[in-house]
Amino acid sequence: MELLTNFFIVISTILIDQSLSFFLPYDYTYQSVVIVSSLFLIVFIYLLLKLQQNEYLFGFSIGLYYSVIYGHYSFAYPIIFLLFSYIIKKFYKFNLKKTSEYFLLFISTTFLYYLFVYLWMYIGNKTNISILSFVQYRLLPSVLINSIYSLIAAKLIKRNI
Amino acid sequence: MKRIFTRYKKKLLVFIAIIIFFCVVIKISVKKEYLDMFTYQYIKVPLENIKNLFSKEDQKIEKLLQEINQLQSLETTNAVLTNEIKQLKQLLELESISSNYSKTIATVIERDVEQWGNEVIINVGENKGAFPNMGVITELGLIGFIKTVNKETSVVKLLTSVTSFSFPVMILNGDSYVYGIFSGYDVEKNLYKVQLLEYQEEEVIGKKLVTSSYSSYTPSGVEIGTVEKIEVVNTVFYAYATPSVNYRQIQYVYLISKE
Repeated sequence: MELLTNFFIVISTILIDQSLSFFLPYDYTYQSVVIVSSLFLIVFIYLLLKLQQNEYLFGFSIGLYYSVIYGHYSFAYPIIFLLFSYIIKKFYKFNLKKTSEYFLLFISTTFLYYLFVYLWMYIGNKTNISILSFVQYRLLPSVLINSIYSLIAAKLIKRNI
Repeated sequence: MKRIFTRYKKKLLVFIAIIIFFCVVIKISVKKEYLDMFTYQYIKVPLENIKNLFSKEDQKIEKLLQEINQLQSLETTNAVLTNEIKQLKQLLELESISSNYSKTIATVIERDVEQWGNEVIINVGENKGAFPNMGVITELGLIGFIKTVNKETSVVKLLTSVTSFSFPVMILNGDSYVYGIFSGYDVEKNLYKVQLLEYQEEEVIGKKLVTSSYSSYTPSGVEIGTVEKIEVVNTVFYAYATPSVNYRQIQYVYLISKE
């Protein structure tokens, strides 16, 4: 039941991200800033930290859902979400206490997520954007926006703890 | 050893079966079309209304009035030209010509969230006569083609996509045309790439790149871009053209089909 509830929470935040994308800067030609909102990733990591069991199933199902609905059937998403499940379970579970620790975890996972998906797309010839353009126009602006989410999320978590 | 192998093989088979099962369940239970409509109607539209409350309405109105003035002069020219075409068609006993097309207006209701696929979703589907490979334009020119059609929505693949299409185009060079094949988009140069056919080294730089009359789906003469430079690669001539469309502002589009 906990797994199912978490699944629906993440799906709801994906819908929020989808709606936010309409108001954020975008450019298919990559000649200006592109911001991709990933609020769902922060929520996913937080729920993963709280989840008692079935972390891998949770990660895999979210990855698969995202891949089928939004990710053009790319297998990058189930892999990266499984990887996050492994890292969180192995190293971070019940170890985080400070706001800064939460913030760093959220921001580093966002960074890793964007980079991994880009590399996957580049290797799979789904994009021909150079790494420089990607970092300049997509990675840094998106991480910046997501750092605001991360900070708010970290503060909220700390307050609840 | 054999037993371990068999055990792993079994696990692998179960794993693959689970993946397939998951994919099928997700695909059957969640229709992206409904999700898109849901987010558009219940989240985006209210948010947009709130946003509009705080935007500078006066500036917008002034801009729109300027556009209306421009449109009025265009309308007069258009009426004259349409009349001339009609008379010429009657003279030549032609049923239709390749530049005749019908337009259906559509609104972009969803952008590709991850933006890797270079796709947008519009609110016109089968119910309003959309079909695959139909051309999609903005007021500035061609932006892409319809990839898939659902009942109420359609997915538009943009010309900036890596896995691009090949379709016949031509460069307007005075009274003559230089024909070519659209071969994709170079993201680093921000230019369309066109393979030229029968190129006689004419001066085409600065000339308009438009759709060709040989295209099966799009009418001829729809603007695509302006030729920026010519390059020769292994005796093949390529023209590079600047897109006429601003891909940062795609909100309302037209679906065009030959009459």
